[in-house]
Amino acid sequence: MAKSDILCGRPSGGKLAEGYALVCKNSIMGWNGIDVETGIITEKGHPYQGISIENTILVIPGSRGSIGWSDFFYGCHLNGHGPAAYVLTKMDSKCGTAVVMAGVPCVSDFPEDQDPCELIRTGDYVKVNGEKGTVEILERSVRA
Amino acid sequence: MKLSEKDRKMLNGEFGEVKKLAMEKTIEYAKVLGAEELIDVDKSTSCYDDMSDFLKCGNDLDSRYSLAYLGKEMKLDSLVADHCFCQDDACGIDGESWEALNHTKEFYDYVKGYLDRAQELGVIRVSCCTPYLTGWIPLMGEVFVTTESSNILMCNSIFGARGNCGGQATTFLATLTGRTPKWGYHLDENRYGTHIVHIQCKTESRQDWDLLGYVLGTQLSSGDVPIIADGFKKPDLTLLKKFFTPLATTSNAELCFFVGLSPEARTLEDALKGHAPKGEIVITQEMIDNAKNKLCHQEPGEVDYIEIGCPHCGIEELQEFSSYMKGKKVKDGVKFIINTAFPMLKTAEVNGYAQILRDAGIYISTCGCLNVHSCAANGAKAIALSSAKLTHYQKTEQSVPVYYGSDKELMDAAVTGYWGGK
Repeated sequence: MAKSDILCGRPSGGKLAEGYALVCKNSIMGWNGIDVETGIITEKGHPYQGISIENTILVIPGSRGSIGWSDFFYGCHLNGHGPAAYVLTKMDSKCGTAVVMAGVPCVSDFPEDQDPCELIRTGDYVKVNGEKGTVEILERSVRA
Repeated sequence: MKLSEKDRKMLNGEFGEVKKLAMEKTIEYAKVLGAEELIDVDKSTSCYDDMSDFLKCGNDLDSRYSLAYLGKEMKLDSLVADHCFCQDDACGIDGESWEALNHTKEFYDYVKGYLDRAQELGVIRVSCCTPYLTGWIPLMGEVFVTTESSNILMCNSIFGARGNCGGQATTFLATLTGRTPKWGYHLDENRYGTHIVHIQCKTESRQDWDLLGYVLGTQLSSGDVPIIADGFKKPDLTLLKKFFTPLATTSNAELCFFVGLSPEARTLEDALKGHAPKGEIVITQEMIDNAKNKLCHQEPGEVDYIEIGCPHCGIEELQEFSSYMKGKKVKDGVKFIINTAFPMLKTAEVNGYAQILRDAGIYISTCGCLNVHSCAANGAKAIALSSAKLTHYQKTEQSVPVYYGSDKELMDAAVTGYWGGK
């Protein structure tokens, strides 16, 4: 694998997870943004409105919107519809709360030239190592 | 991970199993954030209602909170650490009546059971989203946790207290253990402004500040710390609460300096703390007007549900509303709710404001707002709100037209039953 296909951030909890990336460059709102019963993005006008975050590798810059963010995302996990792992450009306390409560792998705080929101594409198959702080792009999605 | 002697004792179970599990989670949280030690929590405002929007496990406060946040069903022996002053945040039921907000008595009693249990376990029942209006004020340097986004901004930015957002789960843990990861805005090195904001719009009324917060939030990215530098009329506490509430809706901001007002921003240089600004933002009247038009349903029409008080009203607002509504009547068929909290309501009663508002046909509700009891508007044909935050959320939540305007426009619409100048 080419070196450029491995991103290195800060190990931020959990162990290993693999899955298809869902990259939301402007994140997702919690309140009125995600349905805890289904994991489906409900935020009006969101590029992935109607898509579920369940079992994805959710790649976001951080949280967005009010403090309920962590409650809604943790709620998705409690109902069995949470992401398999989180990849965060920069850690924040709302994301940290969701990650620790859900107990899923997370890598965060990437160097400026390795922003996962820019380097990973939706549909890429990736492996997240929450102990080592690495995100490997195992298979690239076909560019639209 | 550097732990205090008390942290270690808690971790070893010397303060019981509940606190042991809570300390384990707190340490995990610190590792996830990248914190190296914990810090004492001086003040907390946290929700303690049934949380049914997010949590389905358990069926009372003890079982639901312990299962969701500690991973094991347990009987809780306390919710609040000895040195922590904790009162509850807004909740999903009215302070007095199950009927006023269209709840069933069964639901009301069920949620009240959570609040009563929290009281037993050391939480002061205030059920208020503007706790600084009720005497809960963390002073400069004090560490706070809260489940209210706008309160984070007020305490960090205006009082010079120190806190991070987190959420319900980690606020629960911090209140219970009295400890939270020392991280983010607890640390001097993170408390500096990143963007200089120039104001070129009106900053007189509550609505001006409500829209300014709403629009500024749309211009910010995650982690940005705006410095409101120039062009504004110095706001008071009421205007600041109107500003911070929508700012915390459309952005991730947890700290926002006002030059000449924030204790850590006596000057622009003070706010920048030697860092070069990452950018400058100009907020124009055109941006404000566009946002207002976008928020408000544009077709005039009948309106039969009106609500003021997001965030909760202070006593001077209740005084102003009573003065405006004196001798007027809310039109038959129109439901008009003003939200505040117990201490302000009591003061409004003592001063006669509450009676005037009630005589006009207004229900003064304590404890919540339409965001946490959206059923209050069940059956409404159209809704009018004076909060950009509430409007932003309710436009998605409700299937009927939602109008946005000033408090005065809402009071006028309550009398005529019509929005749009008829």
